[in-house]
Amino acid sequence: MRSVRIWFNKTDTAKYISHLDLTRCMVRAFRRTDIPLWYTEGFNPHPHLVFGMSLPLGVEGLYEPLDIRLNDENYPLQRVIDELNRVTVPGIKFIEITEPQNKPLEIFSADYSAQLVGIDLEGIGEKIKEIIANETLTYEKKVKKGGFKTINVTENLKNFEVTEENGGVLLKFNLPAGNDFTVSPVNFCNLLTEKLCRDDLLWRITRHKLLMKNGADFI
Amino acid sequence: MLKTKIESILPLVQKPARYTGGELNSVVKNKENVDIRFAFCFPDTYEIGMSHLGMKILYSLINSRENYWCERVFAPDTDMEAVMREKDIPLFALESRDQLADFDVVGFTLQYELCFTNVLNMLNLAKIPLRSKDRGDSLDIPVVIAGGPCVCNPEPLADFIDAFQIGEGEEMMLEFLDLLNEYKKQGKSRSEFLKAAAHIEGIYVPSLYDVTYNEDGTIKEIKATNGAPDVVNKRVVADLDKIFYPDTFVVPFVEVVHDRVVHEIFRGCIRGCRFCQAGFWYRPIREKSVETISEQSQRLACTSGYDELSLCSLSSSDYTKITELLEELLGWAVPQKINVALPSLRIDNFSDELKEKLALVRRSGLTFAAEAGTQRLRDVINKNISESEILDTCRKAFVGGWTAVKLYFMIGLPTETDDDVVGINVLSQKVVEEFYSNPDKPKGKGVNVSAGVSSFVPKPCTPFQWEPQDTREELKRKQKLLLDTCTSKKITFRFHNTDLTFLEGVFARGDRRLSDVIEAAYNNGCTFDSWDDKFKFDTWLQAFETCGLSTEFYANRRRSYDEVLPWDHINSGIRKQFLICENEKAKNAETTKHCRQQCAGCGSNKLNGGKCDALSQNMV
Repeated sequence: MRSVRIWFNKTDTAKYISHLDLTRCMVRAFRRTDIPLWYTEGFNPHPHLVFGMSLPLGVEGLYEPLDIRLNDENYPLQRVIDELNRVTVPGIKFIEITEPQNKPLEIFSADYSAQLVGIDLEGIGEKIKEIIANETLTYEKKVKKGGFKTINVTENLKNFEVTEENGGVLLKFNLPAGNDFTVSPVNFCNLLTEKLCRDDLLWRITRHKLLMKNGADFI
Repeated sequence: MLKTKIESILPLVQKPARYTGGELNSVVKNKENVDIRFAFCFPDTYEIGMSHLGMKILYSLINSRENYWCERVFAPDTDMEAVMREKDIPLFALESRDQLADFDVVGFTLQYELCFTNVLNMLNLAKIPLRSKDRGDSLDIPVVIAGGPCVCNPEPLADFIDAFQIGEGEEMMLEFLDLLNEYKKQGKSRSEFLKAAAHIEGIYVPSLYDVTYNEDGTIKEIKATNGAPDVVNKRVVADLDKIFYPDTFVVPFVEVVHDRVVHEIFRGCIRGCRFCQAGFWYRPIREKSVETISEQSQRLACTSGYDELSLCSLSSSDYTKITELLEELLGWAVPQKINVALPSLRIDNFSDELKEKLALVRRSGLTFAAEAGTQRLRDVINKNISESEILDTCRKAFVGGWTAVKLYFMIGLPTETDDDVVGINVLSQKVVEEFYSNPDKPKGKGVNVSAGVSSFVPKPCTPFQWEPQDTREELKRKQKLLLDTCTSKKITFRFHNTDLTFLEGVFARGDRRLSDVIEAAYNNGCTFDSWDDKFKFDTWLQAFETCGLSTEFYANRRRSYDEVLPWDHINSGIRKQFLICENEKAKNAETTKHCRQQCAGCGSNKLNGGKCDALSQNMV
């Protein structure tokens, strides 16, 4: 048995596949290949798949990790990628396969970009900068025990940048995305459109990579 | 523009993957290279529609033609519909996200009567005029067609549908589209096309038939006009081994009701249960060979990645080579970790050999359709199973480790007395006792007998098509009687909503005057009627009142054998005289042998050139 980490992207319509549905979708993709996936040995055997960090519904991911185990240690690694790409669904592409260096629990934050889509975007970038500089953005999150917890976006927001070009607005930022604590990029962006009083605008949010606490890339 | 608009609302709705398309094996073509665009509409949500085998077959069939493109459309869920209406987004097809008005054909499959308002709602969302007569005489507005089991009696939807496809679609569909393609190229009018289409076997164009009524509201005459055939024959395909079957299924991302490879092993049913519309409608019997089923299933499993294969038919254990089939399928399925499911098994031929094979399959629930509580009533409905067979099978199942059994019953069957109703309790109790008489019963575990009790709806094309349906009050009384006479905590009852059943009964045997009622109810907010929480019974009653029609006339009235029935011009292949004879036998609790024991002469083989698989096996 050999543990490997597969990196894939999830873009276009595939960004609307929920995390739970993605698991099923991946298992079926493997079943359409000859990849010797390792199955658990219980009464009801199922393949062992571990996703690094779930993607929020509607957010694209460009470099997402998926850990699997192979039964046949000699199965060529590049073939795993080729086979999966042969049978994959529109919007999901497999990029590369590596030996896992870090544990999924070490994932701490993620780099995102968010593109604003819509008309009359003139000056919106400046307004967003003002909001970030002068206001504290928070939202309420349901917690498992019941009740709500206030999440402070502003104090967790890192490396925030706004660029305006060709009449479009692009944000880049880093937010916590870990097992213990996560700030939703979707809620962050929606808070901005709320403050802008523009419910006609659409965000295209992309997760570029996952990082660890020390700021290094999760690999 | 529409695509961006759609994208902008996806974050606002539940399970957006139901509206994005892009699933594995969904078909995207370049519309510039396509002659005919077909929108296959399922008038219920994605989860239900994507479970439907007929849609998978016709989707692949139409797309197998390079110049035709079939796309899927489902009824948007209520949250999606609200946003679509607010943002003025028309109903669109999943593959291209183009609006339905851009299509050549909009085709609905009618699986149950209570979906009729959804058909209207989808047409309305698509901005297509609801009534055929309002669609002009050009072919620019999509031709609206419908098929599926409900077209056994298509009349209630007659005003909304341009053409019905009666019976099996594998051949008729392409003939219909070929004709449309030809007529469109020649610049012919809508009415010219429909008149010509009426001559394709199985195509019923309701606007070409005039219906007149007697003073008492019954039908006086159904008259074909414009050269349309007097009687439309149900279309039947001859050979299931040679007929088209898909190589691929569209594999949904979200979980749908039936999310697996499905394979139909035969059509028709040899049993002749007198209440069962499907049992007669899908005749004659045609079996698919073990080799074809195995080969096609394996290909489907391979192209889908599904880990479950379900065999589908009206009574799987009546497939002549069922043991051989299971052996063959399990041969490749088990090593590939594919679970084989075999629903619709009968109690009386649940052989030990079959049980042994089924033991290799992952255990699912055990369900028996006893249908009635007493032997007399089971004889009336020709459900040829005995109490000892039911109890024997349950005993074997309990010995095999099962602790839960589901039993299906009906109340409101013709000739039913209170003794028959209470008989449901008596039988269920005997099943409970069977469990406790098993010396090896698992320690500390009780038994759970779940009795699903639905209410009988008399359906066209069955020997009971003339029978009155029990009133709602009577059905409610019988439900209460069951609860009152049940003494065991091991038995749980599940009932059907009697109001829903009643409306189903009205539409099952309704005539085309009901088109007005459906439109009135729809205009007053009725959609998703089959969903208990969305069903507005009072609105429906109001609609009947507005249109001056009586629900009791359709549901609770006994018809005489010589009354002209609204579906008399639709030929299911079953002879009326046979149905009358079966009805008479029912009154005397006389049973009819199943088709392999003795051909009862239903007549359905006539539509298939005299061939019926039950018949040929009988003669061998």
